[in-house]
Amino acid sequence: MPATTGASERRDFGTSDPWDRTKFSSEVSEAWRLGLAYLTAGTETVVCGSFPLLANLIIPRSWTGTSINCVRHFQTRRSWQTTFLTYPEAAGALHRDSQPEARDRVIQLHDESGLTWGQIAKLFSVSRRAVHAWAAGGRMNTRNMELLALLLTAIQRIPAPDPEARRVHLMAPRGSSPSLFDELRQLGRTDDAVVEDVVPVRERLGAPSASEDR
Amino acid sequence: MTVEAAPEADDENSENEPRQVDVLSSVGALPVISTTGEVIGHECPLGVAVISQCCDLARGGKGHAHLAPIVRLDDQTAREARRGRTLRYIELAKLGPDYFVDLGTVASAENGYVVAEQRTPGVDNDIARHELRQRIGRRYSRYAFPASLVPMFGTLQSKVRDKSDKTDSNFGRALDMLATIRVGVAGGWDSEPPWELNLILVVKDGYLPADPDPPQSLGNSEITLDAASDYVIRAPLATADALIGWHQLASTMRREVLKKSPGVGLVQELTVEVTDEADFSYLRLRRTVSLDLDDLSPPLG
Repeated sequence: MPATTGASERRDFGTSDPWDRTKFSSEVSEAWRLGLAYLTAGTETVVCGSFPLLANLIIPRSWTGTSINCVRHFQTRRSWQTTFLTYPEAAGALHRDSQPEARDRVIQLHDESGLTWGQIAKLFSVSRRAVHAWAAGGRMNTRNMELLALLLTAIQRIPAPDPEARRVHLMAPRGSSPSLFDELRQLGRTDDAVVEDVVPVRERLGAPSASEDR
Repeated sequence: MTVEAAPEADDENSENEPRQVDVLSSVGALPVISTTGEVIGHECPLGVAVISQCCDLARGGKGHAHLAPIVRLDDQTAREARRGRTLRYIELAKLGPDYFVDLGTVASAENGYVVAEQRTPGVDNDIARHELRQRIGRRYSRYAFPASLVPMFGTLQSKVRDKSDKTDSNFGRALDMLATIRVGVAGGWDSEPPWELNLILVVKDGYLPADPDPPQSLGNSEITLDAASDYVIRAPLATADALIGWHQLASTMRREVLKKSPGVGLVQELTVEVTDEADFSYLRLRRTVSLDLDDLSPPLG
């Protein structure tokens, strides 16, 4: 478990392997296997209590054995609920260090999957140029870093000898089920709500809406 | 590149049918309900313009048409309105360089009155009418950002307004190369903070290279806004240099936005993205909102 010095309320993390995999989802375990670690609110391993700013950030596992360098903020405010690292210092610092790793993972996803950059963009529901930027070291958000870890895991589990064979496997029709590629695309879509052009086509054409049909 | 204006449709009855943005010079006031509940007259010395679409007007005189006053604006306000940065005013160039429709006051008149009254067209052609229609829509349908984010984007807004007022400023010229700036949030706008925001610069088609592979470099993210803008406007179109320039500018714009903290626990992170019209999908258009800077500006007059 992480070291704790009660007097100063200072908490380090990762001084020993704190990750009891049985307590975490398989996704977190995979992130760990891929060289990433989670800072998850509500566990003994958090660095910031329940403060939401840092919750669920993925950080490089290389950070294990180090301590967060902003304890003074925490000590002066003496509350788990207040700022531990100030915005945007915290997210910026964490992500600056994790971006090189993200860049390598994006390139790895491209190289091992056999997919084009445009196809990878579709997996993330972003533009091709956004993926290009990540592969060149551009900033990637937490959500996409999580998705990247999941996609890499999925690709590596494909029983195929090389990238081209993996691409074929990804795109292959699967009877009444969507292809693996289309299934993975759903991961990138999740719950981003539509906010523009929301009036249904049938309503624009004067037809009954779906709710009226029911 | 400019598109040649198409002539007005010359159908049989178009001379007599009222159309959107027709001007009625004879209307000297519009009814407005005062704070005490009385109907008072809002003076319109320059007349009014028809806001309703022509299909709403062509109903044999039945129903109501919407009218808005015509005003003249000072140079500064006129320039912002002409650039589409002030939603309240819409240019009527045919009447004169400083004539605008003021959507801050809209009232109704019976269609029969509008049909019978003498009208003159407020615009010259269908392209101008289409642009105007878009601006009327923008006035009423823009996305209202959460109030807590307004100060953060306000920092960028002030930079935009400060720099782009100077038509020859580097930043202003760079902005003219953008089709739009959009904002997305992971999990959707109804999700609870802290939000993961994504600021998306959609560059006009043809300005970025059609690279099949990632760029070698994203340039220097530590340069000033002016230097980043200068790089963009000097880089030859559709080259690797142009792409580097846009990534640099995106990074500096991100830095400007982050100068103003949105408050503890509101924004987990802010990423920026550079793309172009051809690469920005309709799916993403639907899931992002336009960074509509007028939304953040103080009310005028």
